[in-house]
Amino acid sequence: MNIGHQVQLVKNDALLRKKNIGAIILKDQMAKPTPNSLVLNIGEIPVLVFSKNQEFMAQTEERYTNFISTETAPLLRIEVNVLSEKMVPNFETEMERPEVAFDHGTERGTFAWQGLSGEFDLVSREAKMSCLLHPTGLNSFLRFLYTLVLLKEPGFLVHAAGLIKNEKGYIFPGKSGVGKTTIARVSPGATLLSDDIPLVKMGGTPLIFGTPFWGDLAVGGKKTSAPLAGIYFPVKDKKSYTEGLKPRQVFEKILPNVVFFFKNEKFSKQLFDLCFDLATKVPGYELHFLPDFSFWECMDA
Amino acid sequence: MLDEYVVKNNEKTAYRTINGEAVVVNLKDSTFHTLNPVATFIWEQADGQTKTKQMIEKICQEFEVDRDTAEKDCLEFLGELVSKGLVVLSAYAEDRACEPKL
Repeated sequence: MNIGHQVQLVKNDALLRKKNIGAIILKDQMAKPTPNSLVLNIGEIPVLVFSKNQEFMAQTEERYTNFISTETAPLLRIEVNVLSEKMVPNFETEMERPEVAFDHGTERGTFAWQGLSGEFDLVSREAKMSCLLHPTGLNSFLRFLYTLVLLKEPGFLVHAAGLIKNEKGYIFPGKSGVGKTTIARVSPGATLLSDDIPLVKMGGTPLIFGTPFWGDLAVGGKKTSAPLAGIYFPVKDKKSYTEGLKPRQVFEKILPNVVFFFKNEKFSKQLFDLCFDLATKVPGYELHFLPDFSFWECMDA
Repeated sequence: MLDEYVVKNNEKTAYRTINGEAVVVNLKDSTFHTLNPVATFIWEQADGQTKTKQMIEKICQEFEVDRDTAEKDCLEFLGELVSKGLVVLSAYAEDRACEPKL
């Protein structure tokens, strides 16, 4: 009899809790309307994104959830104007490379690529962009802007998979198809920074940071960083092993993997020097690998 | 005749040497080139003052090579650098530099 009573009580309690949970969720949703602005912090460089378009902001909040920050002093403010497809005359025309321009004197520039256009002023720290309601628009603009603002840090974006294991950072640079996403996918014990474009900051010790710039994995990295302990250039093979590279070879191999949109002498020289610095500070290897986690055993990880 | 010319690295290039081997970037088009030790030696002599004749002599002193081979290889390499826009060939030392009449 008593037992039955207790069961009844538990049932009631469970119902009560369920109701409460429902009420809490409802209250939470009401307390968190889609924001008009968000601060994204990528590589400790905060940028504020704002738009009148609620759908765009909701999309941005979801897409960049790992990188949303409470930072109050953003480096740049990006105003986003969302266009309908009818308003983008060249939307159907695929441009192979972005059209970019930058004036060193005024530190102003423009960017246009596949239905996206933008302008920015690094002195007033204001940027404006127009794009379709699609997450790739802001993503492309952010990649483009970060390549520029990172040079002042100094740092750069690199085509690579980026992972942290045992508090050490590793990059696996290469163009599409070399196995960046595979490496990220078969590394369950590691923290993902990006399967496509992590961020490198130079200075005393080179550091590697997570970014929301993803590849085929379609998963954003974590907002974290680690000292860069090794550069491993992937080569798909029938067994896993590493071959040490000379700094000159690392230098040669890293250069074509730097993400940069400008053909500009000053910037090219800066990136050239940064890559040299990286190649002489961080050991590099050729990583022959099978598509499983066995390659980690060959690495100094 | 050509060995009386001086060669100077194009200002629109940058280079870094690691363990005796240089990587040169053409800043105009962001293409880069890796040089072996002999090519690096030649590149570093391209100061706008050293005549190619002197350059060839230095190559013979520095590397185990006869003069004819050094001259042939050096001029061939310089021709390649000129065609890629990485150096400027001049009939005069830098303070009087002008385009050579080849």
